[in-house]
Amino acid sequence: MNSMNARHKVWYLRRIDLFASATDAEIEEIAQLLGDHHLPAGTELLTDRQSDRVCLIKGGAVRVHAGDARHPVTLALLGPGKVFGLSATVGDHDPQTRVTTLTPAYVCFASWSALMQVFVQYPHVMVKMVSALADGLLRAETWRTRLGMASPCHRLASLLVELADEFGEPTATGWRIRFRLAQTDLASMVGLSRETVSRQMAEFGRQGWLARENGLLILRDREALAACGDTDAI
Amino acid sequence: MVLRAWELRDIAPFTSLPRNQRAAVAASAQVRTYRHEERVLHAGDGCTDVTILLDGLVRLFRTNLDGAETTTAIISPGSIVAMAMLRGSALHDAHADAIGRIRTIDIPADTFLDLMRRYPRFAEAVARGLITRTDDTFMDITTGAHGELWSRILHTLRKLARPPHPTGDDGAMLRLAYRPSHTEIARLVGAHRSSVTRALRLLDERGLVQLEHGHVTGVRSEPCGAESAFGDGHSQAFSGE
Repeated sequence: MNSMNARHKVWYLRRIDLFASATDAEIEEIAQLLGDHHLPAGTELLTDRQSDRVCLIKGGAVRVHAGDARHPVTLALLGPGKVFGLSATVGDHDPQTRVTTLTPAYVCFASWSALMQVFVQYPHVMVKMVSALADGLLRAETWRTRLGMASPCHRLASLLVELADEFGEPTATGWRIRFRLAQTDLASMVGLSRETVSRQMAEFGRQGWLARENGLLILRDREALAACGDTDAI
Repeated sequence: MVLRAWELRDIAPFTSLPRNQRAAVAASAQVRTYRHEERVLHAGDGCTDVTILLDGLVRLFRTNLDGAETTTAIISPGSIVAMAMLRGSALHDAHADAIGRIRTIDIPADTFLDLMRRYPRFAEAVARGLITRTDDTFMDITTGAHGELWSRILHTLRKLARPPHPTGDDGAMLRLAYRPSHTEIARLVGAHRSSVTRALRLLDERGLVQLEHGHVTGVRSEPCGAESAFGDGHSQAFSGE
């Protein structure tokens, strides 16, 4: 690895929370163990079901989906710092799970054994990994919770706000989600039919809370949607 | 209550710790006992410990502003009940209720994190537990989104009867320690209560679940011929939405 490439790797790794506590020297060593790839949008990953590769997103976004071709189910949308492919480490291969890049993405690959070697040498990195896994579990349970909510308005609004928080960027007209999402994607993530999502999004549009510009969703009134989706009472 | 080191021997992730370290954890951990349906955690309460389940099952759930509850997980021994500190949060993110009589141990967060740094296999076991739970949750999401109602009901009931919950004397019929109401099942599977009631009656007639006075007390442990035949004949009878 030449010095420019190494600095490039270090810069990107520094931007990922998972490795924020490591020193430059440690990160350079970790980068040596991980191979990274620049992938265009629409690339499918983890097609080798026998592989125990773990994947770390350094930049961009990916979609995790399952189900058959007739009924694809979007399970998660993951951004920088997120890890996937861990299911193989517990021997739980789901032959129908797919991972596809939504945008151009930088992804690191490593086997679980290689990753464990990293953690043995850098235990604080392992702690960060566990923290990231706990975050991922909370995210999964939050989505699971949405399936139990009776109101399509609550389910969809909370999802839109979450997507804007993770994948949004401010514009003059509101918070823009940076990549295209079909109504079927939104529907599968919250357990609604596409028709219900369509009706609810139209209602959000009439309220002036949501719009589409050049195929991308714009949250024109994020606070109103957040209030609509706030169903967690303590 | 005193915890013996040997009681942690078969509880993941403590199985990977050296014996003397297990003894140290047992000596310093706070053991708590809860009776059936007693509240273990309140969402929003402050926390400084990592709480791990020793015996029994725990139901994790959230309530919305309308007071409606949604169960997010049913967890078994070795699972982390309270993990907010692992995420750097000082507040519990869900409620937790005991299913049957249970025991938990509280380990100060600093001690737990130190164990992970010093013992990579311990940390790996914690990570594997989180991965498995996340996979279970995604399975729930997938099943809930597109499975037939009767399939989703059976899947959910089997989670309530999974090991180490003792099986009954009926061979393939698993006893449930937790007997959810039809309304609770409806929330778990994302359907209307009336549809769940109708589905349970049909599942009972086919011997796939056991009802006593309308309450579900048992579920067949594995998919069988009766289940696939049930699907062929009834998938259009009720969609449940």
